[in-house]
Amino acid sequence: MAGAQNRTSSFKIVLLGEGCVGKTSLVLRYVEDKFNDKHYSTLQASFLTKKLNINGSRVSLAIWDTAGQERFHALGPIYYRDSQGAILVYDITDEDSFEKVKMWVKELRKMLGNAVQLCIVGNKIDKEKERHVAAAAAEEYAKSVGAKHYHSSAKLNKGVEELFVDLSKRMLQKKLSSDESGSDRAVGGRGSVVIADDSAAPATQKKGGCC
Amino acid sequence: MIQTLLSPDQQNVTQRLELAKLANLCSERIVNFCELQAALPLKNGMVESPAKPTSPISPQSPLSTPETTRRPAHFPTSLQSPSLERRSSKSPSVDMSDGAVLAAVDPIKYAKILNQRMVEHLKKRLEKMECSPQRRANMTQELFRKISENNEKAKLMQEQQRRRQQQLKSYADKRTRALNLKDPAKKKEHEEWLASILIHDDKFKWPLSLKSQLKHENKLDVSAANDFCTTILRSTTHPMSDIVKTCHSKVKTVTDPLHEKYSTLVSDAVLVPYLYSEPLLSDEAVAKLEVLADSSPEENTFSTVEENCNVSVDEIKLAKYMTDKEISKLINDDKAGDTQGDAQQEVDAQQEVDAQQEVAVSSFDDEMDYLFDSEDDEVLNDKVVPDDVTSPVVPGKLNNLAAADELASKIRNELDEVEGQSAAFKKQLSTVTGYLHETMHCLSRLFRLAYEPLNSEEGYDVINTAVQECLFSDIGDQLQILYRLANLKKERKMAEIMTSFIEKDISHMQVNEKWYLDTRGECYNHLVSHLRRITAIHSPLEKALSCTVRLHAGVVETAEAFYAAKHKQEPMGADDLLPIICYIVVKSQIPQIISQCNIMADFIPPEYMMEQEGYCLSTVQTAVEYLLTL
Repeated sequence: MAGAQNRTSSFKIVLLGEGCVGKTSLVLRYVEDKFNDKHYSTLQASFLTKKLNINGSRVSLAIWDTAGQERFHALGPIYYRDSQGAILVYDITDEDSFEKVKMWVKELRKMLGNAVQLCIVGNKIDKEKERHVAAAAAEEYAKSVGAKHYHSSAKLNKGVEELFVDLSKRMLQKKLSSDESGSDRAVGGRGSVVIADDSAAPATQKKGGCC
Repeated sequence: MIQTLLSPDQQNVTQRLELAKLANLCSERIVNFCELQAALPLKNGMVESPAKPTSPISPQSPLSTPETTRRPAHFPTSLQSPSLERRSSKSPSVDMSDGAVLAAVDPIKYAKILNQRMVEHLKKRLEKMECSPQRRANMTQELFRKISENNEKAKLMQEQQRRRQQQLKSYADKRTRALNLKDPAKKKEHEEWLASILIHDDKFKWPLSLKSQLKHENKLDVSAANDFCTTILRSTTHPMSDIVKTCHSKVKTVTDPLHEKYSTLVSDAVLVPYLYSEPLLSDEAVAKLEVLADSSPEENTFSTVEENCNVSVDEIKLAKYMTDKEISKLINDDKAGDTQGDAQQEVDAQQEVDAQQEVAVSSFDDEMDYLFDSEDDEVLNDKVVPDDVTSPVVPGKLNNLAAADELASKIRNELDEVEGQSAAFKKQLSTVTGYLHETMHCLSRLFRLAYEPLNSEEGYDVINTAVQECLFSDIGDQLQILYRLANLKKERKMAEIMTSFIEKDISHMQVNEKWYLDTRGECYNHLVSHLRRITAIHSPLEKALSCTVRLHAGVVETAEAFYAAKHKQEPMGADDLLPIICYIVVKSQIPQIISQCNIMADFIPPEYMMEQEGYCLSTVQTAVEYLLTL
């Protein structure tokens, strides 16, 4: 059991938002930029993993992109179940996309409760002049639903890294506090079985001699 | 006694002769006695055994060792491992001739066999050989001594084994405690299993020697580890293989009767094109079937049609099933019995062809399009409709029409009836999945407890792969039928939807045009064929890895290669990927994709659900659910 804290914490982050708000660019920007080599998997931009270090704790993120089209909305739960974090992206120039975010927030809170850390992200701040969603209103809304609000520009690579790091910190904190409060953790997961007594098996006796 | 009788004091010839007879009699009796003793369980033998040699082999024996006792093997001094090919998929079997192994399993039994062999040998020798009564007596006495010796050794060895087992049991007890299993019954069960594994390995040695090869430079050799797990699970002696067998027999008691009863109906009827949807086949559709029957009475014609039209084998199978065999069967009611067999054979033969051929999954070409468009209101291409479709149907064919209709409604009724029992099937399914889950977890824990090199993250992957491979390989088909029965309603719906998409292309799936890749989606055809293979893979993890993950990677790679050729980069996010996956799923024409998804969702360990396996499964599940809403 000792050493459990040193193990990597894995988190699932689901990326939600209407088509064209820049979800995919956001995540690609994050994964591409941190290191120079390409970090995306064979699935390219739809499923990405990222390993990072938060205050000495190893964190592994699995970032799930979802389809933003209206016709797939009802099927969202297939994607977001069991996720610890959700990034809800809207386009600051498109009010509709912010309305969609509100809808997602409601649904996630209903389905996942407070276990999920919500991030509401106003993307495309490079188009500040065309802004249609007031920053203050968005901030206020986020606060009212226990989410955190961020601004980003995938194009200019602004606020992207901060968003993911901050979310990771929040998820880690949540995890530690729920671990402390003694919530059950599955025994016998992917990691190793922790053997309390590690003494080796009794040495095999030498056969032979009398036989 | 013999010694006394043979005292050199006896000089008289007559006396000698009598003595010889007596000696013969004695030796015969001793042989008989030995025989009896050899056959008896040890305890009895030991109690009555007059001779109890203290040293295992007595070199000081005054008598030369007769050949009789030289030949049959002594007790083995060490246990050799059965020769084992590391890569062989065949399980290591215990060779009865391998004394070491048998002695390890049951020393008493081995002693018995050895003793019997010796007695028989001596008997034969005595019959053939002419030798002095003295020599005879010596030989029998020696035999007697050897038998006792063997029995004694066996007893010793058994005692040693007992002590060793006790030691291993308490060790197993200690290790199992680390699992923190709350249920005491479960804990006890694990303890017993672990103990029996340790005892088994202690006896047979080969698992231990294989185990020692698992790590190279402190790193797990994944391929060796996989072979190791598979060898154990497929072995004939290992306790873990017994756990697999027990699970199989439990599962099969549920699935076998269902498989026997329904597999033909489900696999032959719920496929694409699906002909049993409500309402009854329209007259037009039946007329078109009729044309098909008319235009292709011979099998050869079909293969030509297949080549020309690039029709999927499944489609032909159904058309043929309906027209050539079933219709004639229905027309000639009195011959029904015979033809049904034929029809079945035909279907079976066709299924074999299925397996061999790369199934062409592209839609019907124009020439065939009109045949199955019962629900479609698309305008048919005039040029390909043969004139005789519009011409009046010849009277003899009317029977065929009616027969086809009747058959369709008969099958539909059967399907309705089976569908009505879905609640019962679901219950059975949950029983079966329960068995399988329990076995999977138990095997995984035992592997990690019993073999330390596997107790790591890589080891966990290896164990899961091997356990699933062995657990599902023998029951995959049966399990699939049970899933199909439980999901029959959805699969019928899916079959209808897939049928309606036979003639449609990627543009009907609202895929962004930039992903048509110039060919209206045909560049994804190889992935469609790839997805179809999912039904032939039994291990759920393998289904996920080599089918769904591969499918997604394939889409991305195809698109990437296309744009790379144009020196462009077009990253594909979920917005683009999901509609393409929908297109591939609908074109795969396997309604059982629903069951396949459920099997994967039920058996892929939760840790994989966060990884790409989970993501790809979720995408296919979403695609399936979306298609069902169309």
